[in-house]
Amino acid sequence: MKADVYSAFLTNKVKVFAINKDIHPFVLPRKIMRKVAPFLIASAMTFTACAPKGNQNIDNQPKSSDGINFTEIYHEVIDKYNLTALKDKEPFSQNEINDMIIHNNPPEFVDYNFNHCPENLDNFWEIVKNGIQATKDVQKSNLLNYKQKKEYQIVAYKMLSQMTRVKGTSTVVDLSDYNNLKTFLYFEKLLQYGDNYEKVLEKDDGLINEQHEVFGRYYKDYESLEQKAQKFPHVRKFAYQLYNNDNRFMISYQDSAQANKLSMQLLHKWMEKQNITDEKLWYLTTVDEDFYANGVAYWGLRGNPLELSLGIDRQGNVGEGAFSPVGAIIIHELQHVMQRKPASNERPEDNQKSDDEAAFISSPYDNSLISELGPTLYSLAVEDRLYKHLKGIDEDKILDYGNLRFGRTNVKLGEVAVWFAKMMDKYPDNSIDKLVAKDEVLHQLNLWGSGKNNMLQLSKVTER
Amino acid sequence: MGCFLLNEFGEVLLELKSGLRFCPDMRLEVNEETQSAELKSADSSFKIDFVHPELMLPLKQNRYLFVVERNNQFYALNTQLAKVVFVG
Repeated sequence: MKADVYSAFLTNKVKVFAINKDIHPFVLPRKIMRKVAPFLIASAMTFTACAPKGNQNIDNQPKSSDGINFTEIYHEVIDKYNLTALKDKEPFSQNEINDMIIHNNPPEFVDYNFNHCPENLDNFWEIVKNGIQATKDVQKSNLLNYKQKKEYQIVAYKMLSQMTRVKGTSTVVDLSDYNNLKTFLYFEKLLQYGDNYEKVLEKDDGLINEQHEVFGRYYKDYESLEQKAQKFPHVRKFAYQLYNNDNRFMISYQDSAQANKLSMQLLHKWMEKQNITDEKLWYLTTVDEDFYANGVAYWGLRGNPLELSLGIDRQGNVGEGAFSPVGAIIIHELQHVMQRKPASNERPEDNQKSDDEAAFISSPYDNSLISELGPTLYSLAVEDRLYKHLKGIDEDKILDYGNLRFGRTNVKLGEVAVWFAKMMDKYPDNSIDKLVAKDEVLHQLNLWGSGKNNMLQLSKVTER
Repeated sequence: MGCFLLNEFGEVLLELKSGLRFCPDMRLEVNEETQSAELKSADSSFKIDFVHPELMLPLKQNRYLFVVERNNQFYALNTQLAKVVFVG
């Protein structure tokens, strides 16, 4: 999956690309990266000359009794590429880092200035060691859940692993070194904000920037669909009729409590399948108070990454008396996030403009019909199945939710729902637009949208 | 000699042959269609004939990248943050 190149880094895999077509990308396998502090190899390779040629099988490297001697690999990389800047420095070993955490003994904490500046070596270690202690302290906080506490530990470990010291010394570090400074700043922030997760780890509910792994994950699939749909002239018509038909919200408020509960289970399964663990991708709000509820709002300003906010009505209110289960709305909106090309709207000519002029905020509602097609079909199929589950109806039955009208022909919403659910079973792809772009799917949507008589009756229509 | 490299922080690094002027207004104009790019500053430019398609998404997600110049001894002479702009 192409889009996973970026997220691969989050799973400890490093990939090197050449600008020469003849050199294939070089991958440091995950099993190696998992065992070694990944920063060690990656920071060394930051200054490598090019992707290694020839045999790329790292498994053939000399192994220690532990399996692989990573220090050897590190020094080999430094020697091979003559990485002068790194030659006089060395990372702390895993044992030393563990020891630093277990037998911490922090000096007295007196630097409350939080001025982002390591004044001297003593000051550096004062902040780092007290920061380690603060990492331990937040483990007892009632304000944090298990995952958040774990994240504090992981980030602290990661920061310590990035540090380098002057070779031949035990604690002398270069205070101007980028990674050392980054470690200092992180622990300083931790000392300042403690168990305030949002401040320390800079995460707000429902705020996603373009570096997030879900942002644009399938934007290529969406672009291909946009392109391919042009060859099917009636698909856009179908998308318009479907998106603007509120009969597709077939679950009533009376069933909302149960439907919301079921839909949240469905959401968690969907997230697991998509390999998404971040549960802070949305914030809960109400449509009455929040103009941006149930939609993706994009925000951009020069110098900042493109961001979006994702607010979801906590009751599943989608306006004008209609209801959609909360979990289904979240999936629908996240599917839009995955469609979005992760580049700002800034153009080269914007360089002439002032910062304010270059800023942009796009509408919370994407005006492209094709972008709505996949997520709306998905919501329809899923809500149809939830409705039937709640009512104890067989999922293959076509229910009467009303029709989509194309010229003189009607297409039953219930029929579309059952058909698309079958397509989802037949093509279980993580990308909704990849599924819609299948010939079989586009042909059928085009046929429906054309108003000509339609396919095979799937089964008899049943009154709701 | 040149390469793109992504490290574990998702930073994208572009390495080039020597001889390029490192200016503060440096930016990388990427043409996704032709899979090529051009590193530009006010008075110089450097053409990169091939950008691996898998790099497009991380480049878009970062918007800035580190440009590194080294000499033939594999020594980093210069580093500079450049803005990534998609054109074409």
